[in-house]
Amino acid sequence: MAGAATATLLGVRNGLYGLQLSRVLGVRGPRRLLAAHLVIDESAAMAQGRASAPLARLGFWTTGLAVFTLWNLATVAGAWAASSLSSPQTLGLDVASSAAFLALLAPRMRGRQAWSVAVAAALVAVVATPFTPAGTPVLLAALVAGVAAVRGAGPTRPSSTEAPDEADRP
Amino acid sequence: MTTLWTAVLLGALACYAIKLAGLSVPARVLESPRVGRIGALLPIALLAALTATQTFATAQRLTIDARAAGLAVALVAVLLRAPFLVVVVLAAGTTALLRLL
Repeated sequence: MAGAATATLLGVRNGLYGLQLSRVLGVRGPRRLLAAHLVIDESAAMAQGRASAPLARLGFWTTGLAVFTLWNLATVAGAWAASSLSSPQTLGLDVASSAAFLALLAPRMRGRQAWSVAVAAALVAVVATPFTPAGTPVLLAALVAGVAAVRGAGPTRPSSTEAPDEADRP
Repeated sequence: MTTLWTAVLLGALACYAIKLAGLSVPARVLESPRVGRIGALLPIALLAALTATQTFATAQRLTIDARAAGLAVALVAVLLRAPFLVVVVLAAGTTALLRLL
């Protein structure tokens, strides 16, 4: 049961991704049910910051479906032949996601507010790690963005995430 | 065994419900300027936090290991405007090489 609680806590950020994705994806009915299953770090990250809504949708669906398929295939492969595979750590694959997130972060780092939010969020998450259950550090970091958005009424130009929605509107 | 499966199913259900709830918030709510600002800053905070924790945390312990070197190389590659895949491969390669030594 503790595991289920941890999973739920880890899943809360997917709700935040859903908030950002809903307008770009514009899905209803059964497609929304399917899309919801594919809302994860990777698919959300690949949808954000695209030049147009169709590109964002392409990023979301291809990434979501690719991760879903390969994740499950790899799980089967791992369960079936664990001993014959070399460990992901040996191949340095555990740092691949960090590097990928960094690369996705880079184009958004324009303006002082972006930098202060990024640095504060990273610090909050790292400092909270030893003291809070899994999943919580990232949520606390999300609060940083909330606080900055409420306080800093300054000239924050919405990043290109917003652009596709406007372009998409009739 | 039954308890275990109940927990797994409950966890899965909760995770799915959260995602669906996020996608189902009416567009009207998302159009206020304040929510728009949060929308612009949220990915920055989440990506920065994920980058930091996946590099420096092992479960709930903080460590500085070969991953930090991999991330440093990734940072240089990003600053040099290397393509996405090159950044990821360089980081993984650096970390793997350091572990080999």
